Amino acid sequence: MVPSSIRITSVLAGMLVLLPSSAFAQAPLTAPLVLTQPPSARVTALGGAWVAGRDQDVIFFNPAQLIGARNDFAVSFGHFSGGGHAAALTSSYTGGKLSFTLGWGVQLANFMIEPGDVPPFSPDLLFGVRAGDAQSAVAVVGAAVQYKGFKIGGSGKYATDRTDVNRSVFLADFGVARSLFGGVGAFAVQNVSSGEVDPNLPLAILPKQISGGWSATRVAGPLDLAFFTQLTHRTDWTAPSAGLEAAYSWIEGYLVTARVGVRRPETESETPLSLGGAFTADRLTVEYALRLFDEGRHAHVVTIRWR
Amino acid sequence: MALTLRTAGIALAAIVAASCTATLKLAKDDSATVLARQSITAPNPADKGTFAVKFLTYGAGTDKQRSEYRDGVAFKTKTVDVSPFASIPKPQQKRRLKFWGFDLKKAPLNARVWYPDGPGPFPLVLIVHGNHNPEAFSDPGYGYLGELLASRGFILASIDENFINGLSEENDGRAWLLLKHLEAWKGFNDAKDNPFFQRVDMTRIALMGHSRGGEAAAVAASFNTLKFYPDDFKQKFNFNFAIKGVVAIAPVDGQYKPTGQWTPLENVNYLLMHGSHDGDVSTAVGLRQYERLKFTDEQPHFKSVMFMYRANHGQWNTTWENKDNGPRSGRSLDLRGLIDPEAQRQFARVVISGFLEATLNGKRDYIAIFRDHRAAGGWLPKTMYTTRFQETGYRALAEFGEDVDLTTGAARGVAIAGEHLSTWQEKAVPFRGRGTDTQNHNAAYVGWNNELAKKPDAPENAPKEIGPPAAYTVTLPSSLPGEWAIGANTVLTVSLAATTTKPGPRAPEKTEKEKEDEAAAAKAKAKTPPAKKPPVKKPAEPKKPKEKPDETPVELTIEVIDAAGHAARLPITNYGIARKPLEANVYRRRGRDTQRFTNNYELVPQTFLLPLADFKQASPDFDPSTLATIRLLFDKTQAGTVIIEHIGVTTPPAAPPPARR
Repeated sequence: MVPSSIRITSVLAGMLVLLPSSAFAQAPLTAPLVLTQPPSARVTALGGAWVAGRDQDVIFFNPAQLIGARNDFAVSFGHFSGGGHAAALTSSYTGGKLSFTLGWGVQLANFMIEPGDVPPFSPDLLFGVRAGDAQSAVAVVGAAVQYKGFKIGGSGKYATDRTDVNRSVFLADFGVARSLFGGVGAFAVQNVSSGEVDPNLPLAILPKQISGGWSATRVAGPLDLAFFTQLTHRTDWTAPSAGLEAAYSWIEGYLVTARVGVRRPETESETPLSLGGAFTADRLTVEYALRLFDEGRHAHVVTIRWR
Repeated sequence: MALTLRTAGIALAAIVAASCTATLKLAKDDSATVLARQSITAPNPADKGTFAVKFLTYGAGTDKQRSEYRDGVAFKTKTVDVSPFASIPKPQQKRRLKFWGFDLKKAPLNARVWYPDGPGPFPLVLIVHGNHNPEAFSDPGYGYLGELLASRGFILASIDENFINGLSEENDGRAWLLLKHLEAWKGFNDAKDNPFFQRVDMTRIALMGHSRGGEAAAVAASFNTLKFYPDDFKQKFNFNFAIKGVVAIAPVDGQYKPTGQWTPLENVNYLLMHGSHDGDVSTAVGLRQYERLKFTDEQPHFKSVMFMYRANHGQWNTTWENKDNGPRSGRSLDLRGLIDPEAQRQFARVVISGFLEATLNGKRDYIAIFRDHRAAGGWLPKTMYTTRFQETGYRALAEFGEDVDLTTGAARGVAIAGEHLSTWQEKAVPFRGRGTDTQNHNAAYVGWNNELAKKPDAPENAPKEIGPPAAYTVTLPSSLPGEWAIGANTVLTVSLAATTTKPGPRAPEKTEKEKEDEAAAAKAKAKTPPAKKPPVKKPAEPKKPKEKPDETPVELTIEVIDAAGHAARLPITNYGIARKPLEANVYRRRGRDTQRFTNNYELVPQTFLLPLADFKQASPDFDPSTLATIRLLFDKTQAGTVIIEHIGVTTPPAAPPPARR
């Protein structure tokens, strides 16, 4: 019998694939650019459906889910055909009462712009062959506690788009999560800002969003399966996403993992499908993900995790 | 190209897989010779008996998950409140209540019963499973024992305690539930409308348990005689059942400690079974309970350890099978070395049935299986066993924990001496497990090498010189044989384990002149300041190839001498085999066993029982009733180290007084 979680994920994935092309209309542009980019290979491969995610990269999606995340140190590198680069660092620490967990992360993107361009920037610029050099970055510190079965978390972010001028903003994320239907249900409010800190990054273009999701793990024969779903909403934009992970271990400590994700892409040029894989040998995990775009363009992401 | 890449990928995966999997290492099997003889003439206790077997279930009749405990019960039992002895953590309470439909205040007394079709009364045996996935029910897994025992005239009830599986610090609860089942059985036997009316012999009861259940069986036997629950006087006990035997299958020990102490146990027959390849309770901690059991009432009790090579934790139960740490544990546990599950269960049939026949039916012929398992060689599956045994009448001469003096024994006036020994110390007997956990008692570590070290001026090719054999001697005070009624029916009892440690050749004994010369040379050297020598660089020694550990069993001679100086000698091999530790790797990953355990073997001393009558037969002048000296003479194996755990004598009571119950 196929587990219900597989059925849910399959239906969601099917819906996404069958979405009419109009559904791939570009999302309203937001800034800073990095806030809408997946930070690691795992998140990329699983379609960015990480609000109920299970590693410390969840600091960028839902700080509540830091509880239970493995205390890894992860470093990711991304390369976009055409020249854009991305990188991320994350880690977390657990200790103290109420399962107190602290996490932090840094994410960077380097891309090209035309002189005089100002935010918001299109994600397509990550492929751009242009004259100017620009960076987008976010640094986040968050914490979470568990109380009466609820995981509750909050984080503070400093995000910036840098061209000739720095355009920065302080943001906050809040999240909750708890066990639900044999998995984890999670909800997050992201990129909340108290005011217009920087006139060049008006509140209107911040990707303030709410997202809810569910994740679960199941055993299927020799495979360990994990499912991730998410629905994200921001002004004039609603995007479902889902990911499926299948891991196989033939001996304790060694693991190979295959991943597939679907999501409503941020731009018309990106395809909904993403793929990835990972290999774990004891404390070390090497992950890879592939994002596909039109005209044969693609982005590769590699993450190295150390536990 | 694609094909080449694929081939390379498969090859790489195969190399990675092979390089991280340890090669299968098993000790050399000697069962073909060790088990070659069968001396017990009684019928095999694992053979089906003459009774037709019937089966029923009893219980609360409200089970949500199993029809056999709902509509299928032959008769209903009242629920009991086990909450004073076990508790469910808050986060689990809702889910458990939803699954089971009851909490610990209304715990059911459910069991599957295999029983003989006959008027009885039949002895009663309860068996309880251990900790496992509570939703993968464990109680049906002893049906193979139920079928056998019922056919041989025993009632076997497999107790359902699945509802407290997955909890912690609940082993007192498991034990208490066993006793509540016995109370219920008393009621069945007394109730006219019950199928067991007057068919249960409540004077012949045995408790068996597996894993946590193995500890629970011993705790229940301990609770049985108490007036109060040791940890709360508000829980009054009034059990006092005639529990004659306890069987512990791969038990835990110390998960429950009454009043913070190790569970004491006395005056009950005890059988401990444990496998060398146990992937769950990988340390044979039941050895501690074995050691703690004392016989104080002069009734004919015995206790035995049967350590089975290549047996695991789960195969004793047909629903648990071979993955000792859950369905995915095949990834971590090396299952290749395990004995065939049916062979493991055949062993259980032989020894459990033999134990119950001996202890509940008085068929004492079967005690021979436990005294020296080779007597049942034809019945036992072909693998290696290490066994321990002790019975009423045993008196310790040397047990090594009573003081810190190496030369004193366990009984007053007993003296110990060593001759030509390379090592002689007393320390704790270790467990295989990691850390400082020990078997909670001391032993003497005795090493020897009969080869004499070459003198510095001896030529390279000088022949090997062998000195007089090393010896470890226990001397009895002259009054002791009389006080202890030592005689021809006395059995010398020695428990020892051989180790792989081999001391180097021993320094030859020096003559008086050599000693004087040496002293004079030392004096002269002290007066003359040493001349400075230019540093001499020693040439690097070539690396020695790693030697394969010597698996040859240790052989030695036991010599006894009476007060008149008449000596008699017998080789210990006549009474058992002193194997080197049996290597048992539990994990698949290369190096994982070394990481998790101090040793890759469990040190289980073998008990050798040497009747003094045999010595008398070998040397008719020897008078057992004036036994004066017992000597372990290391004259067969040139070098080695043994751990001597016990030396004592067993003289059966002349006529045991009647049992109190």
